[in-house]
Amino acid sequence: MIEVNKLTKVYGKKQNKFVALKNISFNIPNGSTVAIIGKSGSGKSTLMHIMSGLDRPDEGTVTIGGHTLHKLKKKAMDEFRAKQMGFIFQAFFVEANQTVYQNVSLPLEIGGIGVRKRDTMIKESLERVELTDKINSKAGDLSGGQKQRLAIARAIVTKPNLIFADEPTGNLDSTTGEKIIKLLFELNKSLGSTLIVVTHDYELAAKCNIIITLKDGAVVSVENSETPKQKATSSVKRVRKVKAVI
Amino acid sequence: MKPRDIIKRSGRNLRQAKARTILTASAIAVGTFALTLTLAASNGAQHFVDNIIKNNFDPSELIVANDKTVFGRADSATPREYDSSFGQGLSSANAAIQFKQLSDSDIVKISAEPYTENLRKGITINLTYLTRAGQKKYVGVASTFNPAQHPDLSSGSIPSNLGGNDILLPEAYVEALGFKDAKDAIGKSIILTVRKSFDATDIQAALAQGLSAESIKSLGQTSVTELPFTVAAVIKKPTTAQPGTELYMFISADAASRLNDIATKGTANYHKYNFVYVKVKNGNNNSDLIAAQDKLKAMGYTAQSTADTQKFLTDIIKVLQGIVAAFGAIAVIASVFGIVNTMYISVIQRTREIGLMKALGMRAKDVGRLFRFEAAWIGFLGGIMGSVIAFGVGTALNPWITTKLSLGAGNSLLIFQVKQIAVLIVILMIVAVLAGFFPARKASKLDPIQALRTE
Repeated sequence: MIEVNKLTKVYGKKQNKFVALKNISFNIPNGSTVAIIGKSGSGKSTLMHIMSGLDRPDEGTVTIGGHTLHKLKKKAMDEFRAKQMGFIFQAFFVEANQTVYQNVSLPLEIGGIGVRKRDTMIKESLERVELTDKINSKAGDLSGGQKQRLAIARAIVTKPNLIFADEPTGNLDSTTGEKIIKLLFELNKSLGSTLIVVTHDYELAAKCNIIITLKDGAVVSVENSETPKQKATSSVKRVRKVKAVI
Repeated sequence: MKPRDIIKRSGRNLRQAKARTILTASAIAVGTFALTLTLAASNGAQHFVDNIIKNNFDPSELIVANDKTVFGRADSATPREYDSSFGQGLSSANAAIQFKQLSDSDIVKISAEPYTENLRKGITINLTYLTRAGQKKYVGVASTFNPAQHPDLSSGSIPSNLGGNDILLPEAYVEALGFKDAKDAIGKSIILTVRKSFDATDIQAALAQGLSAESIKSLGQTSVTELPFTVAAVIKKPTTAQPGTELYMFISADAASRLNDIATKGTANYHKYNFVYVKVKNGNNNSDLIAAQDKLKAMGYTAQSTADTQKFLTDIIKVLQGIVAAFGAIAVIASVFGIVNTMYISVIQRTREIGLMKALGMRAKDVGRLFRFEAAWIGFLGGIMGSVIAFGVGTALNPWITTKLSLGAGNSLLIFQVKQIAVLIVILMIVAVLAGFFPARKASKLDPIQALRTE
């Protein structure tokens, strides 16, 4: 369970003060797919950064599996992130001059996994995203879709409990984007990890169990398709509802 | 992150920027090149000095003089009072110098000391000339043979006790004196001549004959004394002789005394010696040697050990090496700025990569390490490049240098030692790591969120 409790984040001081998040609270059950949706500047990325421990809130807490993130020391926080979290970015952030294998190896090296075990895990991960044939290719030589699959392989290689995806289809054409979304949801099912997607894409958001809508740093709605009341709501209706609050 | 993975990753990062890495390492290589050659020259010079000492001195002996001027340690800036009893000579700058010599009474006193095993007079005679029947006359210098000397022989052998008329002739005189070869010279006679100084007896004898043209002529005829010597061995051109002694011929102590007496009779230098060799009992034991040296100093003498002589020679070499090493060090220091610059550029270019690594849980400490290892790799590469080039160039030039400096076969100016080069490379790696300290710190302190937002 991820518990977000009364999060507030303020940037700048006095006249330049900007409240990025205002008293945000919600809970996410393990294994859920979550979309954080909102316009630019609504606080989506700030929320993701705080939930992943990359940033600290000014007030409030994020508790994951009983660990209150911001009470952890820096070393413990880094270890927690290395073992429990995976990241997928809009701009892929693959190391272009390194091979696919070496890119996927990075989180395992950071986690201190031994060479033999690492090899097995990398191959297994690449198999899941169907990139085994590109194992020795330079990441820079891959297409956009392949790069994002590589980024997904890198995110899942440590078998994390929590995967953050920041606009995962933002740099892809619609066909490739759909394939990537399909892959992400399949992996969510097969791995049982929680998937938190930050997106502008309502279609993608509609596929998630939980849709958290932000506006000006505040939560304006939390749509949970798992609740009995909302289970019957079609995705089209959910999208319409979300669009209405934004 | 395991150190092995950081090292591998840092090496991979450098391979991806080959041109930049090689250029940065080249700056270090220039310094390494100079330092490697300096070290090699230092080894070669030390080896050469060691050989000079080994082949010319007995480590259990002390060279004892009555004046430190003899060892070139005089205060040349302060006027010195004239003393007619002092010996005279020339400084290295060809300036006239005076020094107090050892007399027979000094020799008796030193010989009676309990630590003295034996004493040899250090006599060097400037011959008027040397020749052989029917041959030209040549200038030359004869010196007392030192049993610690181990000259290479072209022919003949050195008797355990050099006889009164035996001479060891330098190879250069063989052809000059009309011998077919070195072997031909063995057992043959040559003439050494010294100019006999006028003394009161000679003038009295001339006056007794009356001041005729004949008596004055006879005075002139007695002024040169010829003494025959038999060639016992022909010595090769010594490659490890003390500089300037290459054409010295060697005779027994008795013969040297005889020649010296003829040459100095009636002068202030008669039975006066610039220095003597004192063989110390148990002189191979350093404490006994130092104790004897201290006692001689307490008696007012100047005593120099083999180690002192060695130090005197190596100190001169060290000063020259220090100058070359300083240039090498300056090159290395200059290259440090190159490393700092390269590392800063690398940090800027890889900001997003650093952000990603930190987002994935890499500790700031490990990010810093990654960049420090990259700096170490650059240092290592520069060290290898510089030392390998220095080794290649040095090895190629060694024969030419040996010929130019007349070091003789088997002697090289540049002697490379793997251990020294390895230590040099390690030092360069440490210097490179220190140079990469601030860029590495910048990398480790990067905010991952800001880094990931970098375009």
